[in-house]
Amino acid sequence: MKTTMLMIAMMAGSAWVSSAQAQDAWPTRPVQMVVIAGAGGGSDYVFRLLSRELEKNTGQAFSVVNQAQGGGVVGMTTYTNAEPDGYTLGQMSPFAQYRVLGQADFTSESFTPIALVNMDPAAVHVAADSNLESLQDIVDALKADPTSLTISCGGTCNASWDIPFVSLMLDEGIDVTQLNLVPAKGAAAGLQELTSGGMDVVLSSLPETDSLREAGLVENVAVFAEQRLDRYPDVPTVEEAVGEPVTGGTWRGVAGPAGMSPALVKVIEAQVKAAFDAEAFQQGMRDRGFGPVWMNADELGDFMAEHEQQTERVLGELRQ
Amino acid sequence: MFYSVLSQLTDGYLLLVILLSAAYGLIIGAIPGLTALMASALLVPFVIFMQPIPAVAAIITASAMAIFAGDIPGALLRMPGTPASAAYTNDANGMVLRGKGAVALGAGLIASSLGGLISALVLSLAAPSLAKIALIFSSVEYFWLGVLGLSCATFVSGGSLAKGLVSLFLGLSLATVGMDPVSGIPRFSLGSPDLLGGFGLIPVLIGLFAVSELLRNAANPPRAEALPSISGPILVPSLINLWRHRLGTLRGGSIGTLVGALPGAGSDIAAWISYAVARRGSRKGRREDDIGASERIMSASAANNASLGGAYIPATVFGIPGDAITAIVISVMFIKGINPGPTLFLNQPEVIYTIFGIFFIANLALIPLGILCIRGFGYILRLPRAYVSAVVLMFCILGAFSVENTLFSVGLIALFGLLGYVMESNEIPLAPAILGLILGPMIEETFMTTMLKSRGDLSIFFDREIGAVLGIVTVAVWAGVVLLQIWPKKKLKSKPIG
Amino acid sequence: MRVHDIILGPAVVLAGAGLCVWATALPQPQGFAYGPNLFPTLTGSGLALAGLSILFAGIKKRRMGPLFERPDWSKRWRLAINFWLIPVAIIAYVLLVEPLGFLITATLLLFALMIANRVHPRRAAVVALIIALAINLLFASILHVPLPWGPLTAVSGWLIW
Repeated sequence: MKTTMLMIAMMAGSAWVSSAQAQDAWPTRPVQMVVIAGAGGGSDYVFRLLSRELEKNTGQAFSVVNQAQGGGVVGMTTYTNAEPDGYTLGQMSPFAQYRVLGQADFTSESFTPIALVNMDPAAVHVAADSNLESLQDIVDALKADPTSLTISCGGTCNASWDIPFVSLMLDEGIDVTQLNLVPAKGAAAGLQELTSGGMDVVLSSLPETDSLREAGLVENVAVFAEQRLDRYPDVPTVEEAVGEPVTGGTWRGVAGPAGMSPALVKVIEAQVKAAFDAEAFQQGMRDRGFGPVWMNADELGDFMAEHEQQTERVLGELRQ
Repeated sequence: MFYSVLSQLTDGYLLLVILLSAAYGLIIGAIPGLTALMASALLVPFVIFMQPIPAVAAIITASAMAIFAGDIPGALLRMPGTPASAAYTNDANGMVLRGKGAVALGAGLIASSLGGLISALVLSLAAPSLAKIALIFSSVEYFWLGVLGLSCATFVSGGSLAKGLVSLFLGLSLATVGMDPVSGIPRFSLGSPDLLGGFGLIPVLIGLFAVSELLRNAANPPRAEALPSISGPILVPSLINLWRHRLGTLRGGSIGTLVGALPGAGSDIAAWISYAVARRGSRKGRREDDIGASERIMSASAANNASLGGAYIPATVFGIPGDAITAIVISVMFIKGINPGPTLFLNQPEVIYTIFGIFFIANLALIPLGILCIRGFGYILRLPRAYVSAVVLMFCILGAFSVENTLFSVGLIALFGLLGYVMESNEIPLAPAILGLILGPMIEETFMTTMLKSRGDLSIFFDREIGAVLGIVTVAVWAGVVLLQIWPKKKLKSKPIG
Repeated sequence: MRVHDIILGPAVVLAGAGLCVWATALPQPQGFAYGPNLFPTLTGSGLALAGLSILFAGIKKRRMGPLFERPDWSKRWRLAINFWLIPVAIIAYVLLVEPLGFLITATLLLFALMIANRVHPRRAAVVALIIALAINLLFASILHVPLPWGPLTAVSGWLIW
C-alpha cells in the first residue's frame, strides 16, 4: 500500500514535467477545492488540511475557494457545473435537504463521489442546571407533550443535527410535527441560548461544546454514534441511553461534477487516500476533535443514497 | 508570569510578524474597495500553519490597522474603506474639503488608538466577568439590540427623515432576498442559486459607496484643482483634539467595547451607535462645524477600534465570535491548539495575556504607522485621476470577488453603483441602507426564533428582565424620534456634503 | 438624474407595494407562527409609507424645481461615455475574465479606462500592463485569490507561490 502511494506520488510529481497524459497524470495544473463554508470554519479547516497534504504529494497548488452563500447551495452549484476534468473538486456534505426544501435540485446523480474523510456524530446537550438529566428524560417529556421542550437545531433546521434526532423521535412514536425545533446561527449561538435559559435542548457535535462543558455550564447526554467516541468516553450512545440504534450527524468528503471518468476518479481517490493517511492530517483532525473516517468512492456513493433516503423520510414527516 | 509574557512579547520574530501584518492591514484597509474582513480572510491560508502566538497576532494586528485605514479613502475620496468607516465618511470628507484633512485623519487616528487601548484594558481586567453578562443575552435581547441599532439610522441621516427611512427600508428589503433564515424557504430568488445566496454586504457596500463615487467623478468635468493636500502636522493637533474631545473619545471607546462584547454586533454597529450618541447626545457633537465633525469622528473611530477588543471578551472566554473577523481569529486559535474557553485562563494564562498584550502593542504601533500611512496615501490618492480611478475600479472588482468568490458579486457592484448614484442624486442617504442590510438578518432571525420559542406569544419580548429594559429603552427612543418630528423645533441645519 | 419628490414618492410607494404583493406568493410553512413573508411585507410597507411621506412633501413644494432634471453629463458625449464606461467595464470583466483570464482582461479594462480619461495610448498600454501584472502577482500568486488564468491555465502551477 505504502509503495503504491509512493509510486502515485512520484508519478504525480513527474507529471508536471511531462503533461502529455491527460488523465492518469492528474494533476498537471492547480486544482480548485470549493468549500461550502466561510474562511476559518470547521469545513475550511478540514479542507485546508487535506489540501496541504495533496499539495505536498502532487507538487501542484490546491486552492481552497470559500463559497458559503445560500447555506452551501452556491458552492455546490459552482463545482457541479464545472468541467468534469478533475480540476474543480468540492466539498461533499449533506445535500438532500436542499431539494426537499425547494432550494436546489441536487440528487446523488449531480455529483461524482470520490472519498469521505470525516464524520462527526450529532449529540444532545442540556444546561447543567436543567431538570433533564438523560436522553430518556427528554424522550419521556416529549412523549407526554411534544411541545413541552424548545430544541435548538444548533444551526439551520432540517440539517445534520436535527435529522437524526427527529428520526429517533419517529422511532419512539412521537408526533414530530409538534416538536418545537428552533434554528440558530451556528452551534455557538444555540449553546448561548441554552446558557441564557432560552432553550431546553441543543443539538450539535461534541467538540463544539468543549469550552462550555469545561466551564460546567453544559452537559452532554447522548451521542448519535455506534460506539462511544474515544475523546468523550463518558457520553453514552443513543442506543445505550434509550435502546434505539439511531446514528447520524455531519460528514465531509470530496466530490466532483457528475460525469467524471472512473479512471480519473481512481487516481484522485488514491491521492486523497494518501493525504488522509498522512500523520499531519490525522493529527490536525485529532487536535480539533474532528473524526477522521475513510470511505472510498463506491462506499461514499452508497452512503449518499442512504443519506437521501433518511433525509426524505424525516423531512417528509416533519412537513406533513 | 509577567516576565514570561513580556519575554514572549519582545520576541523578535513576533514583532516582525506584527510589523508586516500592520503594513499589510494598513495598505489593504486604505485601498477603496478592499476591507478589513478581506484582509483577515486572506491571511488565513498563511497563518494557519504558523506558530500559535504569531498566527493570532497577525490577524489581530491586520484587522485593527485595516479598520483605522478605512478612514483614509473615506476622508479623501468619500469612499469608506470598511463598513465601520461609513458612519462618519461625510464628516471626514467635509473637513478634507475645507482643508482640514490632517486634523480630521489625525483625530480619527488618535481616537482609534485610544479606543483600542481602552478595550484592551477592559479586556485584560474584566474579560471573565463581562463575558458572563454577554452570555445571558438570548434572542429577545438581541432582537431589541437590533431594533435599537436601526433607530441609529434615523439619527445618522442628516437630511429628511422620510428619505433616510427609504434608504433604511431598502437595505432591510435587500436583506430579505435569499434563504429565509428560519424555514430556509427561498425568497425572491427567481430560481437562481446566486440570488438564493443573497446580496453580500461587501459587494453592496463597494457598489453603493465606491462605484457610485467613481460614477460621480466620471460624470463631473475635472475639477480645476486636485484633492486638497494633507499638509500640516498631524500628531500635535490630534493630541490637542484628544484633550478637547476627551469625553467623546472615552464614551466612544466604552460604547465600542460594550457593543463589541455582544456576540453578533461588530465594529460597524459600534461605530454607528457611537456616532448617533455623539450626534444627538452631546453638545459638541450637534454642531455643524469642524468641532462637531471632530467630536463625531472621534467618538465613532474610538468605538470601531474598541469593538475589536470588546469582541475578544466572549471570544476568549467562551469561544463565541462577535463578528466575522473574530470568527476567523477564533478558528485560527482552535487550529493552533489555543482552545478559547474559561480553562484557557487557568491553564495557559500567559498565552491569553500575551494575546491581550498584542492588543496594546498593535494599538500603540497604530499611531506612528498610521501617520506614515496617512502621508503615503495622501500622495498616492492625489496622483492623476485618470490612473487612480481606473485602478480603484479594478480594486473594487477584486474586493467584491475575493470576499464572495463569485462573479455574481462583481456584477452586483455595477448594479449598486448605479443605484447609489441615483440615490445620492435624489438626496437619499446611503448609510442607512448598509445599516439595514447588516441588521435586517439579525432582527428577522432573532424575532422568528423568539416567536418559535414562545409559539407566537409576543409578550415574551417583555418577560425577561434585561429584555424588558432594552425593549422599553428602544420603544422610548422611537417614540422620541417620532415626537421630535411632529413637534415644531429648530431645524438642524445639516446638509450632506458633496 | 434627479426627479421631483412628486415622482420619487410614488415610485417608492410602487416598489414597496410591489414587494408586499410579491411576498404574498411565498409559501407558508406549517407550524410557524409567522411565515417567510412577514419581514418582506413589513419592509415593503415601510417603503410604501416613507414614499407616501415624500409624496406629500413633494405636493407641498410642487412648484419648486423641475419634475425631471437631466444630469449635465448626459448632454456631453465624452462625459456620458466616461460615466457608462464604468458599469460596462464591470460587466465586461464578468463576461471576459473566465475565457481570457485575469491578466488580459484587467490590462484591457485598465487601458480602456485610461484612454477614456485622455491618457496617451502608448503610455496607457504600458501602465495598464504593469498594474495588471502587479495585481495579478499580489492577489493570485501571493495571496492565492482564485483569479482565472485563461490561456495561462496550463502553466499556472508555476505562477502560484
